[in-house]
Amino acid sequence: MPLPKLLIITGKGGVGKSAVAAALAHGFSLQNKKTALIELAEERLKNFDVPHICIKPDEAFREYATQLLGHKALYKLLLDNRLVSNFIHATPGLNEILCLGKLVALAESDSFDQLILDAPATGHTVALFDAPRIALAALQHGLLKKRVQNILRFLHDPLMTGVVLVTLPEELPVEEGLELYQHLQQSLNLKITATLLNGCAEDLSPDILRFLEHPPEGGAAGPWVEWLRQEQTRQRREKELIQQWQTAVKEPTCLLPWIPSMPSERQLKESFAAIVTPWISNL
Amino acid sequence: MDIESLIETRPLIILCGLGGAGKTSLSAALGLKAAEMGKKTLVMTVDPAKRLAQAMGLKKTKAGLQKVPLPDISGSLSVSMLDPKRIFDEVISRYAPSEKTRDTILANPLYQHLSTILAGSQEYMAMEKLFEYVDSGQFATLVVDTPPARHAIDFLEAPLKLTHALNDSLLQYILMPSVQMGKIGAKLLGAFSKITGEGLLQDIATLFGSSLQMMDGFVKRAGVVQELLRKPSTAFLLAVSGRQLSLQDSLEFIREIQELGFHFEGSLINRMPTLPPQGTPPIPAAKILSDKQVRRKQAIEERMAPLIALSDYHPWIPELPEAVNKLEGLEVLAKFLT
Repeated sequence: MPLPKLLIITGKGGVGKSAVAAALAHGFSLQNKKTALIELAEERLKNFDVPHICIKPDEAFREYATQLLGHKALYKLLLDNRLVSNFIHATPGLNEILCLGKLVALAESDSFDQLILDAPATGHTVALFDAPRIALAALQHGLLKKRVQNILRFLHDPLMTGVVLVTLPEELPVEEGLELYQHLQQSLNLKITATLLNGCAEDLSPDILRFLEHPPEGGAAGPWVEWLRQEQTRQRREKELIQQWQTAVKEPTCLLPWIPSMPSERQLKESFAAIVTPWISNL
Repeated sequence: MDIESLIETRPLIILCGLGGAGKTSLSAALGLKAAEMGKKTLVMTVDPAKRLAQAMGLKKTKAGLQKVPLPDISGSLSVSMLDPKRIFDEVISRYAPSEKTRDTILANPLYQHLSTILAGSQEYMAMEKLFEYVDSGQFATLVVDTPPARHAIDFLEAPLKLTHALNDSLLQYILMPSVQMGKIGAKLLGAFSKITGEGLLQDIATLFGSSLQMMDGFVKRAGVVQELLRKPSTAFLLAVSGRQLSLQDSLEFIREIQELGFHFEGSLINRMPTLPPQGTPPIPAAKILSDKQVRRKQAIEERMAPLIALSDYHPWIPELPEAVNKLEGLEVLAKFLT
């Protein structure tokens, strides 16, 4: 099955969503796909050095209003008007609808083959993708309602939209990730394309494992045995969590290594892209 | 500054962070430390996953104040898990001028969304509760575990957003008959309705119209809380993870905290690699891993240098081998806060 045109990268805060999103965008560009990395509201991904588009609610509103209002005077009146801008920012859900509307418009244009959305962290992602459902309940008729219906159609089309859920092999991120996994599918009707576990530690060397099987008692090696055991405990815990994740999640999971040398954002993107892109392209 | 003098002199400690730093566990550990020092302590978390409770061995399903059973300790430790939606309902119910107003708000299709979607509403709800607990005077130390936020301003923005929505937007034409709409206003409203359809504007008008009467209370309390947060006796701490790639967001966050007039007092640097034993030569099998860990730790310390320079309280906290989901784990964590 081909990848959905829009891939939504989400997960708990601090799990590496942006790095994964940038890596995918980079990888797809190398495959000569017309790719855009999309971020919402704020420009933060410059350091990753990939082509990106930042959707800002005010600008989304401007474009939307321009399309609808041929009338020049009205158009001028609405745009850059403080009263309108404050209203948009304060109305629950309107920002989200405007951003999603723009996102769908980008996806429906022929300008791109592949869109990667660096979505906000858990709570805000849920609010973002729940906005159309709630708006639909609130809107009785009118053009905005049609737009919202179009957004929902797009998001619920598995050929168009898929989610890549990112988490870490640690207790709380796994717990929260699994909650999000359920919620995205059951309450928001989004399709999960794949999941990624970021920051997986490398295995202990066979030498260490052999040593720990028959460790010497006490002596100078004592503190070393204790230290290695701690490392081993930490790693077993991580393996169990990976196991737990893979049991609960039926979609394929990619394991990304923790890159301890802490390279620049650009290098990180490249090393991730080398792993993630071939993997996701072969799903 | 060390942890003891921090707790002695700062009755209110706000722990911020960008996510993935173990903020929730660290808040619990700070609370435990204060309790060990004899303080009557409350840890507030707005975390919806109720994970703090898990770390403290409390029942996950129970909301509100819960006391952590601690033997042989002169102080006490309570936890309050905040459910923003529930608190929002409470606030509406408490301050609505009439039952009719309350019901109008709660029944509005947009209301349900309002409490979850307002960016910073979690922070705002935390502030509502904070006001309540500080006002009650029942705790000597309050530790607030904030939801991961990219901007410090989120603490203050939500109530301001509501007032702006009302006083300085299209809604004034609908809500306040005293404001002369005039030709331009009518055109604006007309153009906007053309885009959205009329139902939406009406619903929003109803929602904000009902909230109008409560706005005074919102704004007043927000003002009191802001004043409290700016006091020198309120300490802002930042939790960061040693695994974090970039410090840019953290440094930006601290700058914002200081610009807003809050007092930044230190960074908790969590998830540090554990150093191998010192003083005894490594056994051959462990040599490679040992060297690697030492290099990792050095690399992280170098990366954290700009953060360290910003305060004189910056404990290094190692990644514990076992998960922190038990009290013992918190006790170990609390020891590293010094």
